[in-house]
Amino acid sequence: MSMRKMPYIYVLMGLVLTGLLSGFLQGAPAVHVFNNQDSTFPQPANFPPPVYDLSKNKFNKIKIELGRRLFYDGTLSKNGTVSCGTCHIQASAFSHHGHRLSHGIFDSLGARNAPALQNLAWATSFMWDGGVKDLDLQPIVPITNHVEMGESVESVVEKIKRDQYYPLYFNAAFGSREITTARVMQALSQFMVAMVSANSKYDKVVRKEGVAFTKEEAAGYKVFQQKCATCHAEPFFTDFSFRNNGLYPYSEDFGRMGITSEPGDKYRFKVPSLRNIALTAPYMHDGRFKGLDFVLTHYAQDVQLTDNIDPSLVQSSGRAGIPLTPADKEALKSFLYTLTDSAFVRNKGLGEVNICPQCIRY
Amino acid sequence: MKSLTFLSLQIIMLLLYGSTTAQVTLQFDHRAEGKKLVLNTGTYKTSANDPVSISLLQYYISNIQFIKGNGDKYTVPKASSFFLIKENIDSSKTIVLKVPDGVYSAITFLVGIDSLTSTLGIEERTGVLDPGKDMAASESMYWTWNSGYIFFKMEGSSPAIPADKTGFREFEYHIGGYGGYNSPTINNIRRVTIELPAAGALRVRSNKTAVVHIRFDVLSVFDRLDLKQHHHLMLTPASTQIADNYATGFQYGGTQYQ
Repeated sequence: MSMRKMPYIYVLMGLVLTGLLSGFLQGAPAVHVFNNQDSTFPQPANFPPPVYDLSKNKFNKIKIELGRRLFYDGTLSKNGTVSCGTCHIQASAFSHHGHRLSHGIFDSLGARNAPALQNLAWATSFMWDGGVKDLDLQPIVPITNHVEMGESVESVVEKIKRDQYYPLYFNAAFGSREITTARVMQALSQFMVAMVSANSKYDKVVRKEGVAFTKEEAAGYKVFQQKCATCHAEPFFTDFSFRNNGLYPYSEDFGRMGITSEPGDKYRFKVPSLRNIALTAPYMHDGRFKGLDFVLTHYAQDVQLTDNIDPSLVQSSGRAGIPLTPADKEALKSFLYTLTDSAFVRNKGLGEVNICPQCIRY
Repeated sequence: MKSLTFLSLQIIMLLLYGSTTAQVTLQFDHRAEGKKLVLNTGTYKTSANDPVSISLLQYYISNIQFIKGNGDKYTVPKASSFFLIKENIDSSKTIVLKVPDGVYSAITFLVGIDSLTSTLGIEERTGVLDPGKDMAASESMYWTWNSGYIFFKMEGSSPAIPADKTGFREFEYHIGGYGGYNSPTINNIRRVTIELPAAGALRVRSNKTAVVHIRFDVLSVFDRLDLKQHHHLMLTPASTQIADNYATGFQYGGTQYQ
């Protein structure tokens, strides 16, 4: 064969790969163009630039599709039954709707509530206690936790290497068939970085896209700004800090103190985002509250003055909690419902991927 | 004439490479009660006279430097300066380095991983720094839930330890902590300096391989510990005592030239 024909072979190989990938990713929006060029990160106008370092892991649609496939693949767990998507369900803003604690392999119960996954590109730490500082290192936690996916990363990499298709996808995403811890993690973080939620009614109002709050919602926004925004700061509806919100300590879970060993961090947990809050019940790190009413009642009258109680929850009179009238609560709820981003939870590009039957292994 | 050619060749080599290098091997010898450590079956007495046996011993050695009498230092390039020593894998106890010719009076290294490397991007964490490494064999040197490397891991048992719920009397020392990402936490990085005796300075010459033995007295780990209390130590304030202990356990064990 002459050398001149070689380039055509590469073009042909590229076409076959593209075909394979797009066939595999049926259901993805047709606008996705599968080339290896870096795509543009969907930066919302009302958000600051992302915290996640995209220069080290360039935003790339093929990588996102690979990450999406890994995210929904039970192969990442010990016995093939639990994927990341098991406890992070898109319809619930990637939380585990209705489950107080996360569920793992062999019907194991986790120790905390699976948090919603959204706007992770702006998060400064991960987990309820902030024990992980880099999104690329985050997936190792649930994969290796015995009551979650119970698998070793080494073994995940081995299983993926033996798969019929994955080496092809890694080649398309990273430029070679090599599969390493770093590549698996970076593909997963790409998919999570793509989980941008910025199209709620609130966002459209703030961006002045021709939408306005109702009277009740506007009243709720005022209450929110006066009484909640210190911790649940806009636009992420969290300031990413760790605080003790005065929950009755039912368990020995000391939160942030488990990471820093500092007594001053006892009972402190990450302030969760309120975005998509209507979809992410139950609430709190242990999922103790089944609905928003319980949460508001807690802040209004049940805050416990335990060690390291957050000063913003102690009134000048020394009384604990945030004074909220019944009207405040109703208005607040109306406002909180405007944080639901239905485009986000219906985004097909983030949805569950159909995994071929032969890929499901037990 | 011949020697002149040789000399000029040497000068060219010197110009090209700065200086010539030679192989230096650091050989880590794990010892207990003055003898070679035997895992599992060996029983030893701690300084508090408690009998112990050891089932697992592994630790990171990194950021190695060779120091001359006048204070000049040769730092092993960062990219090739991370080693995971495992008692159960003989080859891991031999670190092979290229060191410039010269006479050195001390060798210094970290037990653990420096803070900068502890926060590297995942794409740079390869080889012994791969956070997914050895998980299947339960020999992982990485904490997932509180991101960071375990610098030193030693496990075993002792009748002095109160029985747990399943009747076992085991100790697990998993020591790490690089000082925190942006809020200060425990720092258990320890630098060990092995001073070579005046008569036994390390002579690195291009035609010879030097093997420097570094002895590690595993029983040093138990000094000033109360096994009744301190049997499971990880990232808690008491872990610093263990880091202080093992940092004193490394001693010079002689040099052979081959």
